[in-house]
Amino acid sequence: MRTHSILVVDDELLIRDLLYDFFRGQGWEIAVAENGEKALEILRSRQIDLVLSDIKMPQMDGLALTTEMRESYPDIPVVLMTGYPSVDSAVTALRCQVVDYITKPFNIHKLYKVIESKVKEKEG
Amino acid sequence: MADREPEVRRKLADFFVMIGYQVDAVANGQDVLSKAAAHDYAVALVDCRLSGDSGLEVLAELSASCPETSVIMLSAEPSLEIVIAALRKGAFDFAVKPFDLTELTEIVHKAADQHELLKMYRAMSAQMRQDRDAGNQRGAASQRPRDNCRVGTL
Repeated sequence: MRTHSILVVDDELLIRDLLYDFFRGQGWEIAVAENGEKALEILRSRQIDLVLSDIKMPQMDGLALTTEMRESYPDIPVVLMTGYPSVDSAVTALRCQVVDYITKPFNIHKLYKVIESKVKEKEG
Repeated sequence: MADREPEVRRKLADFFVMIGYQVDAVANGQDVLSKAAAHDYAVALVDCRLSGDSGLEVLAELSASCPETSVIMLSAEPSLEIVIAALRKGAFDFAVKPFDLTELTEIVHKAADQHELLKMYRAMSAQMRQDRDAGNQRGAASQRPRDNCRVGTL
């Protein structure tokens, strides 16, 4: 079975480290970026099955990243996470066709189930 | 279009008929699903609170039974949970009442375009599958005589 790959985008080092260790432990390939611009650089250079991104970040936030990805990488599913959930950002996320919207703090095992199911759905 | 308020149904139906759409307007989820089973709707506008039904349940059923129909959810006071549930159940968009009709029209046009694209994509995929199957059958048929060929000796 092919190893799955995930790109985690979050400006908080703690979250990046936590998710890095967790997904490595599950046997995934993982790349991390601290904002949307860095994430796009990574997407240009390697294959990614799913992007998990925070919404509120400096430089390029998660919604701007998702909008850009819908143009350049329409087949890569995006899951957004936020510590500042709002109806407006959820509606914008829906319009950007993200596959899920997760509020922080999240249970990492529940998050993993969501991510795993979305990657499997993509594989058909 | 499904909304439990007759006035909203009438106004929206009149508006979309005026700009060139064919519209069926109903008040409850059962009517949405029975009409959707009989027609190929490009777009469904579904209020989150219908008479006797949850609009989100109707959305889930429509996503499963009519995946090419773009569903736009409507609500006067959406909660975060409702918007997230709509996102997870595959809504195309979410419009908050009272509507800006210009904005709603743009959303409906985009939704109709999406429906056309999906139909085109599925038709092309089906055609490609058919061509591939036909190619496989031709390949098998062209091999058959050789498989059945007997080499005789004089």
